[in-house]
This record gives sequence, structure tokens and C-alpha cells, in this order.
Amino acid sequence: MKNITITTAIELTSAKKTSLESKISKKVGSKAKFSYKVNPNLIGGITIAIDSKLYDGSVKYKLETIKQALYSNL
Amino acid sequence: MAKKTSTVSSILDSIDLTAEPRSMGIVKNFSDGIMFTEGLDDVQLGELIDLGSGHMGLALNLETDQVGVVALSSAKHLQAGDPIYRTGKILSLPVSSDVLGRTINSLGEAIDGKAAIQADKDMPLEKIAPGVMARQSVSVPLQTGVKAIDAMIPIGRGQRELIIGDRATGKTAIALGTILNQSDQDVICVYVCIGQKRSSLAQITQVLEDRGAMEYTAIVAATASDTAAQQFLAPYAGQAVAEYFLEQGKDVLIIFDDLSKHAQAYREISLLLRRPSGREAYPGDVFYLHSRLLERACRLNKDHGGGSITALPIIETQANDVSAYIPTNVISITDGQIYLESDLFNSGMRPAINVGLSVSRVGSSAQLKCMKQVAGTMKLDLAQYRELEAFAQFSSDLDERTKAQLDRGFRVNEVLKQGWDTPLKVEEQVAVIFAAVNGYLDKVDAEKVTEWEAAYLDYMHASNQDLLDQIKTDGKIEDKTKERLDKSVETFNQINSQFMIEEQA
Repeated sequence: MKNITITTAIELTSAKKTSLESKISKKVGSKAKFSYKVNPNLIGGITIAIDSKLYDGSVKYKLETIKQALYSNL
Repeated sequence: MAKKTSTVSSILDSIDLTAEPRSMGIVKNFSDGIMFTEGLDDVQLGELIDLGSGHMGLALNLETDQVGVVALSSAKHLQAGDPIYRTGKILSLPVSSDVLGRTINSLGEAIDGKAAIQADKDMPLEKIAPGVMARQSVSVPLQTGVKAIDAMIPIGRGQRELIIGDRATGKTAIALGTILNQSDQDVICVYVCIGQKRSSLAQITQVLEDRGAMEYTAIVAATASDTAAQQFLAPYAGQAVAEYFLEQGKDVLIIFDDLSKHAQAYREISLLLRRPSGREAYPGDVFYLHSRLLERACRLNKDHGGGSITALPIIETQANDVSAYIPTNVISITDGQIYLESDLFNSGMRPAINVGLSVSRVGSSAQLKCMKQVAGTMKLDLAQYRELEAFAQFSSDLDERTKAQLDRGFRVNEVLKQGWDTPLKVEEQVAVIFAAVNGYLDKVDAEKVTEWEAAYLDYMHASNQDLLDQIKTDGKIEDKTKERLDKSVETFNQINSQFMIEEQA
């Protein structure tokens, strides 16, 4: 039984939530318990935390990655 | 401008923005620099944890339902519920030869206000010490420049020698004097400062710079206001720097000033991590804390590069109690100790080394032959002198033989006095001790022995520099050299009657 936390910058519509849940359940394979959070700091995109593994697809993370790459290479 | 744009666009093209899974934990509580988190399921012990905003932590407590992470810097931005991430890296330090002349902290960051250290290699802080077959026994001397040490408690390259004593007895002074003496010895020095005042560190850095010692010295510092975690890691960071040079086959001297504060920092972290406490509230593994550090000081054999790390850990005792917990631990780990006493210091004997209680378990295998030849009986002479010292007050009632022994012993003792920042080269030490043990000082006024010594060395450098060089090159005193030495001292004594005892009319 996996705990899945989905965090987005804006509130998701229930249609979006249902489609996400079915897609993720297929990928994960086992039963999953979903919870939703809203965090405007993410700017955009979505983060999916499966137990303690985080898949960070937020715009904030992408901007941070670009910033780190530029700082370390220039 | 066009070039910069294309560099930027090439960097941007190479960035990978796919969302790799990161192992994450949620902070449950965070106080006193320690946080307990849930999650971080697959974290390794001692792994670096990303706390966000450039701060790092160390995962030190792996329990079934929580992980104890020690913050390596203030991490004030963290709140309960914040995520922290694994980095997959075990704590390591970026080192290169750039680090010489620089001051860094336990994380390898430069704290002397100059540019960041360019990394050649990442050295792990925790490492298993070299095995038995990789080692070679200690046979090359490490010259400290202090007569008392080089003559009677000689230190070899690859040895661990503890400097132990109360506060303000000259422990750091001996360590610094040794660093200053390595200017022509082809030895790299690492000075690890744990829990000291920043003003002390500034003074030490200034002294090393003024004397040109910073060229071959690196300083790793975790001062009193740094977090307990950084103070805990500082000796291991210093060891990592030393091992970088060891792998290149060089000889390294590392000084831990001091390990008492290191044990206290570790005690602080362990108590906050709720680990069970033992004697004097230290955690159960405080012995392992120091043994795994000091075992990494070694001499490697030719197959492994032939380098060596000599460790001089410093321990501060309270009220001369060497039987307290941490002092006894470190005494049993090291290959000998230099015992400094405040009574000796206060009565004018500086360096305040108690020659009777100090020992070097490597001993004369790490001494040059010339030094062995002159200092062979010195320890015995001094021991006999100390036994008779109580009778010195009755000197008029003693027989001639005892009086002579007392006089000789007193002069030999005077010869051992030395300024902390005036290290002597081996040949100079040999010349002075030769004069003392062969009775050339017996006619010198007891109060003037130190002046005599300074004047004698000046004389030797001015008139007999070739003799000194001869001793240095031969490494031993040939018969011809001995004759010349005898003659030089006699001549000097004849010329300089101002040092001699005034004949009673």
C-alpha cells in the first residue's frame, strides 16, 4: 500500500485528479492512497511523492537546476 | 559578448530537466542543530543530506521509523514538514595542492577570504586505515627542533605522539615549533584547530605566515563558534587533506589541537541524538572516535608510495589528571606521550616537559646516529639528578661525587630550556648536548648556561660551520669530528671567561 502525495501550484480539477490517479496506479502496480497539496511556490508543474521517493516536475525545480548549472559552469 | 552567449546556450542545451526520482524525507522536528525525519528510506550512514538553500546535513542515526540528521550549518530556513533530500554522496573533501597556505573548514570551504580551493581529488573523510601489509616500521626521524624531544623522546615519521598537559603549559607551542622546524625537511604540515578561539587561530596563522611556514602548511579550522558537527568532522577533514599528500608519497605532519574539545563536540552530538551515554557522559564509542582517526597516521612501504603521516594529537588535562577518561583512551592509542607539567612551567623550565613520565615507544630507531651518540646517557643522568635534587639544599654537606652529579645534572637540565619559536637544527643540538654531557659545562656558572649556549652556537656558526655541516652530512660523529668538537668547546670556554664560575679567592 503506497502513500502518494501530489503537490501542484494551483488546485487541480476533479477530472484531472481522476485521470492522474488511474495513470499513476497503473505505473505503480499496487494499491495507492492519494493525497493532494497546493504549494504556489512551485510556480507550475507537479511533484509526485511515492512513499519517500520524490519525482519533482515543478517549474521551480527546473529553474533551480538551470541556476546551478549556470553557476557552476561560468 | 557573442562568445559568452554561445557558452551560455551550450550550457543550457546540456542541462537535463527530466525529473529523476529523489529520495526525500520530511522533517518532523528540528532543534539544536539536529533534525529527526521520516522517509529517507534508503539513506546510507554518514551520507550527505541536502537541506535546501545550499545547506548540508549528515545522516548519523538510522532508526526503524526515523533518521537523525545533524545540520552542518545553521539551516535556519528549515521548518517542520519541509522536505530534505539524499545526495547519494558520502562526506568527502575536495583537495589539491592549492590547499597549502590556505585555511579551510570541515567541509573544504575556504575561510581565509581568498578564492575557493580548486579540487584535484575528492578525499573521503571516513576511511579504513591502511592494512598491516601496507605498512613499514618507523625509522626516519621527524625533527621537532626541541632539544628535550629530539634527544630523549624522539619522534619518527609515521608515529603518533601525544602532547598532553594542563592548560597554558605550552602544548600548542611545541606543535607550532615543530611546524616551524619543517621548513627544510620536505614535510607537509596540516594544523587542525578544533574548538579554539578565533583570536588564537588568527595569532597562529600570523606566526606561520611571518615565518614563511604557510608555504607548506594547510590549516583546517572548526573554531568554538562553529557547530558541534563541524568540530566533530574537523580532524577527519584534516586527515583527508593529509592522505591526499600521503598518496603522492610525501611525508606529512598533522597536529590535532585539541582532541579533548573534539570528544566534547562528539558528546554533544551523541546526547542530542539520544544515544546512550557512558562514563563522564561520553557516548560508548568515544574510543573508536579517536582510534579510527589516529590509526590512519602510518608509514607506508615502497609498494604503496613510501609516504608517511605523523600525528601529534594534543589533549588538555584538568589538574594534571592523566587517568581521566579521554586522556587514558588517547594514551593507549598513541605510540608515546610528551607530558607537560604546569609546575615545571611556572618554575621556569620551558618547554615544561617531564622527561621522566614522557616516553616515545619508537625511541632511538627514529634517531640519527649522531644524536644517539650524545644523548644516549642523558635520560639516565637526568633521572639520577632528579633523585638527588632533594639533597641539593644540603650541597655543602655532600661528598664530592654527589655534588658533581648535582652540578652536572643541573647544567644538563638548563641546556634543555629553549624558546618555543627557536627550533634548533640537528647539528646544533648535537653540538650543544655534546658539550653538556662531556663536562664542558661543569665550569660554567649555573645561572649563565642559557647565555653560554646562545654564544656558543653563534661561535660555531661563525668559526666552525663546516664542522656542523660535516655532522649533518655524516649523520654520525666520526673520531675526527669528535676531536674537532672537543677542541672547539675548549677554545670557546677559554675565550669566554665571562661565563665561567668565578674562582673563589
